[in-house]
Amino acid sequence: MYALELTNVNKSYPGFQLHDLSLKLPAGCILGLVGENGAGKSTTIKLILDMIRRDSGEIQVLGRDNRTDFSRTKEELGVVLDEAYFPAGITARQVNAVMKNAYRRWKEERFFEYIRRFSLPENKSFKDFSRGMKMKLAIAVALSHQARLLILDEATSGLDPMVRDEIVDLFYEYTREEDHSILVSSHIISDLEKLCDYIAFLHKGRLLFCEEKDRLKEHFGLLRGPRSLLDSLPPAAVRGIRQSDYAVEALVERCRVPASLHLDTPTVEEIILLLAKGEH
Amino acid sequence: MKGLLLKDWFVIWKQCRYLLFVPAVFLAVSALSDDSQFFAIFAFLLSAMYPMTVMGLDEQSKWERYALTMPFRRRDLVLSKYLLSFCSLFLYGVLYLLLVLLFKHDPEAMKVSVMLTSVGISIGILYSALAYPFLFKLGMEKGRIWYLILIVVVCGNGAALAAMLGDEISLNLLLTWMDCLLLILPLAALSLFGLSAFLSIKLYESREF
Repeated sequence: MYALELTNVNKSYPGFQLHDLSLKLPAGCILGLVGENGAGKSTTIKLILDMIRRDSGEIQVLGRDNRTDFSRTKEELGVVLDEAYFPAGITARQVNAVMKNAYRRWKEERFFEYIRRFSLPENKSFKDFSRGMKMKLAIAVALSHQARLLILDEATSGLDPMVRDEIVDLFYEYTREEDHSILVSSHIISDLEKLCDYIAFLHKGRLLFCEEKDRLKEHFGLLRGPRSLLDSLPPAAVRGIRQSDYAVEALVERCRVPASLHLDTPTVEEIILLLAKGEH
Repeated sequence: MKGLLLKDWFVIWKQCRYLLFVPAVFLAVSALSDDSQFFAIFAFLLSAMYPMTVMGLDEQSKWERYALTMPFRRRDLVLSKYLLSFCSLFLYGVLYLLLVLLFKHDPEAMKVSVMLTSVGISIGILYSALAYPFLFKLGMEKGRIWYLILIVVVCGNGAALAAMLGDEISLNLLLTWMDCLLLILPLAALSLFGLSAFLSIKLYESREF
């Protein structure tokens, strides 16, 4: 069972095209969607949420097409967008009243537990919240109606590291239940590295890979040394190079280089950055 | 939809509470004095406008984008605004009649007020019916501009027609058809309101966020 399944999805705007995007998020897992600004992460999320129309392809959310009775599917979705878009004058207490009438499975006690846990004021206007508080309110809403799939679009960007860490822990806690899945888009790769089981890398509207994080680290190696060392390798083995005056750092495919070569294990951030350079 | 209406109420009460009182004051002025029907009509027009103010505030806070991630259908978002317009016009209508009942103990005045309320509500409904499809398709900023262009064109043509017929003929025509107009106006307004809601849903469903 997949929490999310995109098959050959295309969407074009003037000046941008999302090409043939196919990816799968197995139920119970966390998929990180990474890519530079304008790579197509938000477009992908908007397509999943049916905020924009796909030109072609299929999108299944929790096993159902996202154009068929999607309001029913949305009962089981928790969504946090890049900003918390509540009306300026609304209070947390009023948000509870609205959501109680929006979600059938709204858990009022759970919402107020989060409000207390995040130290959010119950009767203060939303416009007077800090950015961190605003995002925490959006997260509290997303976690208070028994959602099976969380969709987070740059939910941690612009937050200070302490708040980010607290929120990442919360998402960990959420996935303790085995049918809970998360799709998280971010350009803060260190957060995704901590959190995700799968990483999907979008670059200029194309999916370069969607792979298990551990398998990704097994597949690639980081070669550090003089340029001459690199020249001895088959060109197809080298996927990206970072060069300084004295040495090179190259991302290589382990299966294509001699086993005797010493390779470091790259971080996901290094894999993404070097692959993006290789694409350039 | 209840959640959406509740949200609208919170927004109105917190951010544009004063708008609730302005039509009420105009209605009270109309109910207290003679020959101030204009105030009543103006009050109904004003009350038709404030759901649009809420729409503007929603757009400012990007609430619609967020609401679309919740278990609402796009049609719920559209219909909630139509319902808000209708309810506000209806409630101001009731308020006006209560005020007349309170201040004028004259059955003839009551009859005129019922007629005035019917015309006022109809004008408010017509105003909303014409404005909403533009607002739902283009958003508040562009939608308002196109709506104003439409109003200028309609009023301009109306004025040109009246000028062509001459003041006396226009007035006579209006008086001859007055009874008929009073009956037709609410029916036409309600029919147009329904048609407008249908069109707005279609337009909003094709809009991308």
